Amino acid sequence: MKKLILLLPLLASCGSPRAMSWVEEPTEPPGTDQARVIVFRDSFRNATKPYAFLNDEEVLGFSLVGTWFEVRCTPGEHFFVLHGVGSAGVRARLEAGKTYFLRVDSVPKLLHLELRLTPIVPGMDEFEKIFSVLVDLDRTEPIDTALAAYAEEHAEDLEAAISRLKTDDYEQCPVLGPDAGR
Amino acid sequence: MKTAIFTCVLALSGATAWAQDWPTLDARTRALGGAGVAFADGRGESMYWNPASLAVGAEKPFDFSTGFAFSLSTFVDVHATDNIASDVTKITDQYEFYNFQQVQADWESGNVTAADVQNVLKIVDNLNRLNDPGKGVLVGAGASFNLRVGPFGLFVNVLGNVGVSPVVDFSGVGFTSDPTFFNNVPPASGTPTAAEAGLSAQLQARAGLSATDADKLAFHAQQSLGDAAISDPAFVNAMVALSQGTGGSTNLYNNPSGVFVRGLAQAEIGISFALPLLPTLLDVGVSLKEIVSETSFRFISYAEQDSGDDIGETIREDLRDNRVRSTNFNFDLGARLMPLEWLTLSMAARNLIPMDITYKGPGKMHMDPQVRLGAMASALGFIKVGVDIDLLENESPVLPGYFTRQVGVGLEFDLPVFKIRVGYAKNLAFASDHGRLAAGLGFDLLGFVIDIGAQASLHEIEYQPATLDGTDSKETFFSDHVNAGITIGLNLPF
Repeated sequence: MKKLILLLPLLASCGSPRAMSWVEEPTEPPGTDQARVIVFRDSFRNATKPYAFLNDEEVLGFSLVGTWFEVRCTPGEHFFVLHGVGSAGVRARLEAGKTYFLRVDSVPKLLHLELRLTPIVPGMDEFEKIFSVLVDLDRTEPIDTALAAYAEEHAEDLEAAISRLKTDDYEQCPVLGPDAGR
Repeated sequence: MKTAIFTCVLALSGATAWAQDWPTLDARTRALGGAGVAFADGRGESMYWNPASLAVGAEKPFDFSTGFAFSLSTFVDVHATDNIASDVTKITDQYEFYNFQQVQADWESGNVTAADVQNVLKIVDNLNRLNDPGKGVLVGAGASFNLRVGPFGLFVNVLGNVGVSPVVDFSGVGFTSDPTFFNNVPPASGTPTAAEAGLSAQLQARAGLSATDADKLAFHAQQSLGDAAISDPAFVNAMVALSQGTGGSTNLYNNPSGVFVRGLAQAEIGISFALPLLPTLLDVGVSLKEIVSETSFRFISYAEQDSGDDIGETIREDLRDNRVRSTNFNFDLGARLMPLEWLTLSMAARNLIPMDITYKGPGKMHMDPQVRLGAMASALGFIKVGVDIDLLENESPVLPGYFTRQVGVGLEFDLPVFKIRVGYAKNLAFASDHGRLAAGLGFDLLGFVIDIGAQASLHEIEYQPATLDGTDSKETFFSDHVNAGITIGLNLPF
């Protein structure tokens, strides 16, 4: 019994590692040699589960319900991946000095949950209202140790998911074009 | 008080039982007014209310990442439907104070006084008032163990109720076995009231009494009870039956009225499983269980109580001798829908196979399915409000005529360590139900949980009327329905 009591804090902490930290500071606009991608998750569904966000095979952050975070990328082509209970990809071509928006959500399907990574592009209602959406969300930023731990723990999963997205599902992955930024 | 003693005797005899509609086992739900379907979440005890809750947070079938939980609960529940305890005690006091046994002996030998007739008619009136269906006392106790591993659950629920219900039976009973009784009743005097005349007319027409005999009985009834009481059709029927039975083999003292004690003990042992049909939106679940039931009964007549003998041991022995055990398979189903971030809608159906439980006593013990809807809304991340409502009425197997259809409302302040809960519950199917206020506290540190919860109606009950000889004054209790319970458990994510 005594051992069980001593184990309780450890057991309780097992399932809820801290994936991101909350930040208050305003974000700077992208420089002339970089593009900025803002990843946000305003849907409540599956609220307890963070989803990993990757640029190709590099884990850049975790998308939590009610939050957004930004990543800075070099201009050019990228393949963004969202990974959790499933995977989703976005084919991106970014221009320097622009900010792009990706929405994370999950859709209940029969016996599975479909993860979505949706580019928010001009012409969409969300694009016009993006800042009013973001203002209601908390800004987070990645914790390097959490990123490294996740990458190591899920290396095989990630490799398989990215491989599948880049082959079988590549054509179904939405496109984030250079003009989609602001 | 005697009723309470009998109930204690039953409990000590081991003939504990369970037969409530959908008893609240865990302390959290108790504190939330019984709204267990609405508040069912990933906790261990939630599978009892809705097996679909085992899929809370599941992203896919057989998702074990949703966690591990266990809970252990226990509770007690005492409910006097109507003022039954006081009514029964008053009758036994009247038997003793009016020396009913001696009066009956005097009547058998032709010695009938006006005072005795009027006193005995008071007993008849009080007996008759117990004849409403659903009047009685329910005493329940139980314990529950639940273990959750991801989408699978294992549970053992052991529950018990004892129902004590009055039985009023004047069929074949007369005032005395002396056919000349009416000749010995002192004469009437004065001008009869309208009610008195009405009673006399009924006795003549239906019981075949002569006008003189009927007038005498009606006169003493009016003098003893007043116009209102003797106009009550139930009282008129009782007087007709007793008049018809006079001269027969069963006199009034030995009438087969008393209290009937029914016990039903049940142990549910089963497994649960839930599937996220549309993960994070719609979960469904099922519980399969074997229910082992043990029934018992004992009838205790007022004459037996009045005899002065120590009948406790007899009752225990009879209850043991009357025990019957049976086993039934049954199952529960549940669904849980989360259409909005702040809203959860649930439906659960319990014991979907109607059960006839083997029972040696008169009548039968039967348990029907129950279907309950629940809705829970949350706000600000820490306030939850929920409501449950039964869609069907259930009749208690141990207290015939006592129907239940519960509605419960709960409010939970889900703070990081402490949980504060209040609620209200009401039985919509029983007109004399006074509702119950509920409250409780929860403590949750690192997944280790302790909850306490209690419910009480604020309807004061007179459990001991003032005795007629003045040796004891009236005693009351603040509530006619109280219950309390405690739960300990562990809820951990994997």
